[in-house]
Amino acid sequence: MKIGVFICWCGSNIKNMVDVERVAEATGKMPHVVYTQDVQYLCSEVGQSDIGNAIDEHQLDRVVIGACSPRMHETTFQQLMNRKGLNPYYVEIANIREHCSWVHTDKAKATVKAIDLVKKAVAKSYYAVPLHAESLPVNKRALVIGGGIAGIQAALDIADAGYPVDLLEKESSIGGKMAQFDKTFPTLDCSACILTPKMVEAATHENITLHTYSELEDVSGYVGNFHVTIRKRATSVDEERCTGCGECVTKCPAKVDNEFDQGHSKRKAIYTLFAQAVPNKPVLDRKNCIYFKTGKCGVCKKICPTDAINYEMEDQLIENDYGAIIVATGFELNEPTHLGEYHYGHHPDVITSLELERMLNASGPTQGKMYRPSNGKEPKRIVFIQCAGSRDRHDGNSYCSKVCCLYTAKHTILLNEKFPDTESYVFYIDVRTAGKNYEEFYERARQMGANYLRGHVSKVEPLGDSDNRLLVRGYDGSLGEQTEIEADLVVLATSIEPQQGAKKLAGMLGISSDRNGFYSEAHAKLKPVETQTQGVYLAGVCQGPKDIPEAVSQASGTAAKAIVLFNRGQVKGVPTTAMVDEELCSGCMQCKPVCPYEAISQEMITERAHGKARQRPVASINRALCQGCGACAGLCRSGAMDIGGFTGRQLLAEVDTL
Amino acid sequence: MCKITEELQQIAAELLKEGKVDLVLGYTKGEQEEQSVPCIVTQPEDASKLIFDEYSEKALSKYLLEESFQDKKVAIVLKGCDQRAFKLMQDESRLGREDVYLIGVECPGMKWGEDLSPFCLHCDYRTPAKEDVDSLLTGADIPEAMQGEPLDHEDSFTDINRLEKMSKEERFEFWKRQLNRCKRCYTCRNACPVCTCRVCVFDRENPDYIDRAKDQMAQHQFYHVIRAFHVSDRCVSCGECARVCPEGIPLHLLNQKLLRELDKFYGEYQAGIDEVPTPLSHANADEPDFFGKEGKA
Ligand SMILES: Cc1cc2nc3c(=O)[nH]c(=O)nc-3n(C[C@H](O)[C@H](O)[C@H](O)COP(=O)(O)OP(=O)(O)OC[C@H]3O[C@@H](n4cnc5c(N)ncnc54)[C@H](O)[C@@H]3O)c2cc1C
Ligand code: SF4
Ligand code: SF4
Ligand code: SF4
Ligand code: SF4
Ligand code: SF4
Repeated sequence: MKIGVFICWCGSNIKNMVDVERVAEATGKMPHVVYTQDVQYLCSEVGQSDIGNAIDEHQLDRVVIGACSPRMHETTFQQLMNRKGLNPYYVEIANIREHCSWVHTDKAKATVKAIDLVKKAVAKSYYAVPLHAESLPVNKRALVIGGGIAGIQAALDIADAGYPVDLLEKESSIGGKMAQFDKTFPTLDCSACILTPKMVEAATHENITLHTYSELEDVSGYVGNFHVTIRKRATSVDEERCTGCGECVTKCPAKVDNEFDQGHSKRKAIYTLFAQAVPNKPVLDRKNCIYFKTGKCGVCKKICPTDAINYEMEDQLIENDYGAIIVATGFELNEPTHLGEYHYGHHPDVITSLELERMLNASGPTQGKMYRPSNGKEPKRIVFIQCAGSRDRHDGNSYCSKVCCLYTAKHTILLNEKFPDTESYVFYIDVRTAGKNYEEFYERARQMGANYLRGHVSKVEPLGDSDNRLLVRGYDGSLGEQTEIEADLVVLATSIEPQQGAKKLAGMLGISSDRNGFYSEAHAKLKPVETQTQGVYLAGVCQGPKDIPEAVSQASGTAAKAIVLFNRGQVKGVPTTAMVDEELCSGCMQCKPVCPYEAISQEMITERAHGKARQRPVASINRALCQGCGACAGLCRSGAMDIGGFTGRQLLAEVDTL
Repeated sequence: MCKITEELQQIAAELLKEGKVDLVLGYTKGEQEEQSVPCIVTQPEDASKLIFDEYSEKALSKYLLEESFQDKKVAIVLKGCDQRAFKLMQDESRLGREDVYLIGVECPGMKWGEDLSPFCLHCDYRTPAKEDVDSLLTGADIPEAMQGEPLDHEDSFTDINRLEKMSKEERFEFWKRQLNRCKRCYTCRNACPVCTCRVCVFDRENPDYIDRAKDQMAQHQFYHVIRAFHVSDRCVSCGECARVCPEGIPLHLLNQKLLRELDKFYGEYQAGIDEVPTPLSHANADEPDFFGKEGKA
């Protein structure tokens, strides 16, 4: 065994806090270490060739590196090993930057620690075993979960590259939140005008299959080979027969609050989500259908000219295999009833921005007219309250919802354009306009007459006058005094939140969520659309608040990832998988339920003992499924399970050097 | 001769005579009156050696894993706790039910020195369930203390209550005194019917998880704490570990204390009766978090 140890300065990053020469010298004395060197930048071409030359000259068979986190350059060094004909798992990295030089201020102590860290890595490399990844075929079909703008964009991009895509949407139409808006900032394009063509394109694209009114039931498998079950809820309307004429909707006697209009209109029990819905066929909401509640009615069935109504229809389970999964499940808006000071839910004229968005929409409940829900009259003075439930460590979410500043500017502009004699007041903490043309857009809002007041609203309360108006009490920071504004309508910029079912979905997909419940990307900077689970990607607001252009770019990013995967046609499995020592394993299968990837099964092996062939059970690992998480190895009492690259032997060797 | 012993001898003789089994594994009287020891009977005429009484404390089920029992048709005498151990081995794929003839016996409670075992006072599974065995023998002489409802954990393992009341330092002193006597003879592990690993981690050479130095306190602690974690949720409460220790170390206090805590955290679980996996062998997302803010008492 011949080990070479290389210590990186990382320019001054490491060298300023760690005496790299001493580290090289100290580790050079360890058994089997035949060569040491400290190098200015190990990851540079020069550094790489230094290592390469040393391997040739000293016939090194193991390389130990003291440098930055293996997350940065592990593959760089592994590729070098490959080029030199050595197994990539014969390189061991000690992180003396993030774990040492960056976090310490005492050079002497940091040097001692760096020596320990590198010694540990050398000891670990004594017991390194060569590991090999398996190549696995990729199923070239993508699943996109969520049919908002992000999901639609991702599906279109992948489909345009020539690969089949299934687009899964839980509502009866694709479109997401964007379908509810009137105009979009910062250009004030009509939302429907830019969204509807994309929806139609998705529906008619030869490579896209829509599954609306559907949800994910189960996922198993791994990158390239996900096996997915989709539950297509019973719509009670036979898709093949229905022509979308809408007779049933017209005649249905059951009326309920229309969620799409945020309750500002009624819909029928059989309904389409909105006029331009895609697919444009009604679904029957069984919770509110008179026939399903009482057994009487059946009007829709009688009226349907093509006999498309089927009350007996059942949920359908569809199973399919996919190579990649894109999660684009978007967001929900917080219901601000818990913020008692704003009086939401107690006074009908305190509404949310999305409700306003519906009112302003020409195809919304009021055909674009503004009204006060309390009396139907046109509001003259509107107060906007920003950050209602966002950036609020005490009663709300601590994060910023990111889009509210801009959409509120949008709302004041639209109001000014359409109803020149309304006054808009905006209470804000600060206005955040980072983004192309955003500052200009905000400027425009102010120039058009919106009154921005920097400060908190302490209370919204009924004025008690005959018009039932509201009094907004707040603090105007620029004047430095309390203000009171009488308002006809109060609009809350409510907080963007993860979908209710986000956690459950994460569990099914094996991805994680951040502290706020948004899905976590694999790396905040360098892997913003990937997740920790290979082959699962994130697009849109499900990963964190963002606006449409960002959601769309991210969606195209995920599509590129999927297309790269499909073009390659193969994935390399994880080489650092679990390994069973059959001699020690008793086949008790306690490890099986802890494996999050269902990679462990029982297998019978034949053993010769005392002249007889005997069968006995042992655990067996599906290397394609195993992600090397180590749960099984930690569980096994007799230590029969080891993780390649992190065997019990290796870890103990590390501990023993300390 | 008590009724169970009488019936046991009859059944054993029959099974052997008819060739249904090659051997019967049970107990016979030891050299002293207060001692019963495991015994193997292969001839019908030797069936009269077999007995079952309040000293038949050894867990027999574990013998079934030994090489000499393989490829043989075996009948085995099992009291409640031993049958639980058998069931656990069966659930962990160590044994097949079809290969063994189970003679379940009603247990009168085992002796613990002069007294009754605290395990037995707490036991509500003295007799194996009828459907789990091939023959069930009942009619034991049940001592008064064992009649009626079994005692609560707190009332049978009173020494644990005492330990719980000690300060951290006192408790550490207590265990230091106890564990310092450990010779690491591993008799406790060897007797334990749920310590059934093919190769115990403490016997492993590569890597050696534990220093073989047998005179080091830290290594004793290491051994006992690890073993407590390996067995506490799977313990069938036979009491053997503490009973066999040549140094008289009260191991049951350690294992049963952990069990008491596990019951509090994960709800009551009885190994060999409830379904596997055992509480420490799996995790649910909604389980209390030991280390989280709430979990920390
Ligand atoms: C009031 C308001 C005004 C806004 N105005 C603008 C604007 O003018 N300009 C701008 O750029 N941005 C604006 N935004 C931001 C914009 O809404 C988002 O950037 C955009 O909608 C993100 O799209 P998405 O596809 O990620 O999510 P969504 O639009 O939420 O779409 C997600 C889709 O996934 C579906 N889904 C969810 N869970 C599941 C599941 N488990 N299975 C199947 N399907 C599921 C949902 O039904 C939905 O159709 C505004 C936001 C708000 C709240
Ligand atoms: S690896 Fe360990 S836990 Fe898994 S079956 Fe084997 S002995 Fe049991
Ligand atoms: S390391 Fe073990 S538990 Fe983790 S994925 Fe692999 S087999 Fe499953
Ligand atoms: S039987 Fe007693 S002395 Fe032997 S290892 Fe167990 S506790 Fe130690
Ligand atoms: S830990 Fe002790 S009491 Fe529990 S089963 Fe093992 S030997 Fe019996
Ligand atoms: S102490 Fe642990 S590893 Fe050893 S036999 Fe018991 S359960 Fe198995």
